[in-house]
Amino acid sequence: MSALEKLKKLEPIQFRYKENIDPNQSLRAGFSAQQVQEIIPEAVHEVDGVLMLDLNVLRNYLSLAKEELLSKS
Amino acid sequence: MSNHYYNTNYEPTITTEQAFDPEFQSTFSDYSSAGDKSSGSGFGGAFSKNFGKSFLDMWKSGNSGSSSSSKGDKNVFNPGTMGGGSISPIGDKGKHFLFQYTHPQATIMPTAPSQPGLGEKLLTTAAGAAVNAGVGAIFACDERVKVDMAPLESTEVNDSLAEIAFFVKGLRECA
Repeated sequence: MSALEKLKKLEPIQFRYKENIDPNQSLRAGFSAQQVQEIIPEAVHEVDGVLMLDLNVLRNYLSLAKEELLSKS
Repeated sequence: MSNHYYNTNYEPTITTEQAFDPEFQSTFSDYSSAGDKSSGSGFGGAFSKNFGKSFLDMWKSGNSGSSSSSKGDKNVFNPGTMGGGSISPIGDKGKHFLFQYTHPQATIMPTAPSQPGLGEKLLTTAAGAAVNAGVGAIFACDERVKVDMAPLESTEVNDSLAEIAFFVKGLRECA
């Protein structure tokens, strides 16, 4: 599966962190780490039992996807 | 301890009162700019005197690093009391010019079954700092730390993660 195809499988979500983490309860954009882990496992790391998303890996996928899109056009 | 960590035979001869006295010409004025040499006054002279005073008093009293000393007065620079961190020399012998500062909040806390819950733990770790500050390349995206999850429509926080999320949303909508 190409980088572009993998990115298209990701489901962007809006969410709020729990109040004890973000008292402001701001609406944020992102992904579910559990869903990303199924598609791009190398982009997810577990820190202290919490799944964290490594944006550097996602950025690499974005670059590859852009190249793919440019080559198609 | 002083002889071990700071191997110098120099013994400063100025007192605290002399160091802050603008008329006092300490030997530290030798390190000030050329124009200040004669009087030891001006920025260079005052800085060098006060700088020398603080550090030398600290070394003299043995009040360095994380160790505390009852001998130090309130004017003495004491890195060991700043922010609860600690400073320790690198290496084990001779003169030490390199020190490492350990900040307590930059330390990832060890985990144990009896420790606080997930959210509280996040706040005390480097990962939690990344979440709160919105900096770095790592974000807590675990569903267990989120509420009100829904397909992306809008955001109030424009961070790197949001940029990527909206880019992917655009990709999906164009497909």
